[in-house]
Amino acid sequence: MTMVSIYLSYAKPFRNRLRGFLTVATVAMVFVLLGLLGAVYQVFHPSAGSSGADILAVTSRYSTQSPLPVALHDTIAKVPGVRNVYYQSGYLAVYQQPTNQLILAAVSLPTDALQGLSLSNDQQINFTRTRDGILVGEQLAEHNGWKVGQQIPLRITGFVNKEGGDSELFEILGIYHGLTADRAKFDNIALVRWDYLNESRAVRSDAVGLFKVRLETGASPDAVSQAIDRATANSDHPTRTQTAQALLLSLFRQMGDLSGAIRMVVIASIFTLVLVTATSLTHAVRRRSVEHATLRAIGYTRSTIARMVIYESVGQVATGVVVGALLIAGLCRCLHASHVSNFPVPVVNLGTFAVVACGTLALAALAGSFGAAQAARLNMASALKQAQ
Amino acid sequence: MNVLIELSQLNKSYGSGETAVNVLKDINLRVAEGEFIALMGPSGSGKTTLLNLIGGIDRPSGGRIRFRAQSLEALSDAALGRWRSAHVGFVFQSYNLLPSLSALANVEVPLMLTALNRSERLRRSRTALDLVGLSERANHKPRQLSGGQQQRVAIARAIVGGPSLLICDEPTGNLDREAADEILALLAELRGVNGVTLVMVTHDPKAAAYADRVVVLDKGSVDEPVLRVA
Ligand SMILES: Nc1ncnc2c1ncn2[C@@H]1O[C@H](COP(=O)(O)OP(=O)(O)OP(=O)(O)O)[C@@H](O)[C@H]1O
Ligand SMILES: [Mg+2]
Repeated sequence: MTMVSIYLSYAKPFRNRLRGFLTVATVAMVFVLLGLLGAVYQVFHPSAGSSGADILAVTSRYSTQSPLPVALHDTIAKVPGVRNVYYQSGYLAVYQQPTNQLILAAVSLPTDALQGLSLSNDQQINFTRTRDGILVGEQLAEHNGWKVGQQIPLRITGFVNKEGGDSELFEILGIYHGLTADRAKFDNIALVRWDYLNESRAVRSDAVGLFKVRLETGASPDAVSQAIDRATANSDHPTRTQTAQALLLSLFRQMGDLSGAIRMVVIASIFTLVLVTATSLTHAVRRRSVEHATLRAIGYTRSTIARMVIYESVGQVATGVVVGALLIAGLCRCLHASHVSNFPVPVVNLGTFAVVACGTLALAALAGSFGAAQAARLNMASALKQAQ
Repeated sequence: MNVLIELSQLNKSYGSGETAVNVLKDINLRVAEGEFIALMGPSGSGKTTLLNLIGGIDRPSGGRIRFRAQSLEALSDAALGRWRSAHVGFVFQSYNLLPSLSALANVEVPLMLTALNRSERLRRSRTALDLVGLSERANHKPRQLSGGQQQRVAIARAIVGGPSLLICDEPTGNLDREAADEILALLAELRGVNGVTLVMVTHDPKAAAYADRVVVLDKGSVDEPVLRVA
């Protein structure tokens, strides 16, 4: 009996080409969204073993994105237990085409940002001596075909120089790669000097995205954090200090909120899909009542016909799942090849994918069951009369 | 004479109470094995209703239908389905082929309910298509066939399982004279080859002329036997 159903339904899922196509396209879309979500998660999830417990990150109390005045450097440096204070700001820049984006980290001097990178002593010293110097990650350099000694113009988002433009010329002093897995994250960004950017501005902003504090040996991270926050509490710029690890985690949690929203959208789409499939299928079942009545006359049972309808629904959705999976794989490969961002060799979490795929198929069966019930209720004699 | 079908005091009414419509009233009819009966009568006289009862598509409100030794009223829905699949072939006025399947696959549909393997099903389906003269169109979809050709496929589908009873509701109702004559000749020929019993509803006196006996249904009861159209 099952074989019967499969045979008969095999030609059916795409009988109505448009409907079949729309169903497949919607399911595929949902799965692409889901896959990208998974890949994004992978990129930003702070790896468990990464360093940072002995480094404090000082950001604005209001939001991790609000800048702080560079003048806080001295306030923080005076707090007992603090050995060094570094600071940096992040910028988005474009090279030649607006689509060719890169991340610039503008770092203080001295800085700890060069540690763990494959830069010679000479190159590091050169950076402290060359105001418009830039150090470029290997992947980024390769992507743009950059060589040491080359002058490159970069347009910096949100930046206005004294001529009123947003373009700055930098000289490449070195090309590096991270020496540890943790530092390899720098391989597709570039480092410039914070003081140079600040002074090139039409109006100095003296703004810093983040202070990094190295502790004296034996100092308690908690005690120092509290002391820093107390020292700034009554200023215009109260701070929030936490370990670098904790900061990464909180950033990731914000990302988590976003992916939570995306997940809601995905779930909503799947439910919409089920509703649409259910209604379009009940319409189709109504249109096919003569066919179903004919099959019944020939001897097919109510349940066989009901099963055929469910197979049709599941068949369409399953095709969508497969197409979606192929699209994600292709898309992630493209993103990875383009080196634009930190996309990893993207493997969507197979477990999650399987769970969602099975859930979707179960919902497809549920959607099909409305049409199936309708098909099973069919009155043969009345349906056959419609044909004449 | 072996009786294939015997209807006794058969009644069929639709609805209940004051709105009840008595469509068939106390019908008595015997159909012999191998007989070809034409069922005639004005529109709305209950021909399709009667055919549905004989073919086990609908259930009577009263009376009995015997098929050989079997009382159809006694069968459950599922058993009635199995009985139809084993003994009855249906030919409809609008052919009722499955549009997504080829001619051959359409003919194979009833055999999918049997235990036959695929190659045997295909062999029998080809033989049936051959018998109706359509082996060359085996891979055509219904919409690529003329009305007459579609009805031949439908007849092949009806006989492929080797039924003892063929039920045809105005099988030539949608066809022109020439195609109708071909279909009627085919039905008469099948009876000769397979010894199948035919009950056919028709409005067409020329179609009725192919039958052994014409039964006229009027105002809900069968006049039997009625005029024998030569
Ligand atoms: N499901 C139903 N409910 C109520 N009345 C019905 C139903 N089916 C048929 N009838 C009535 O039963 C009568 C006989 O219908 P039937 O279809 O058997 O006629 P017919 O002889 O086949 O007519 P035609 O030659 O037009 O096909 C008609 O009056 C019809 O209105
Ligand atoms: Mg009728």
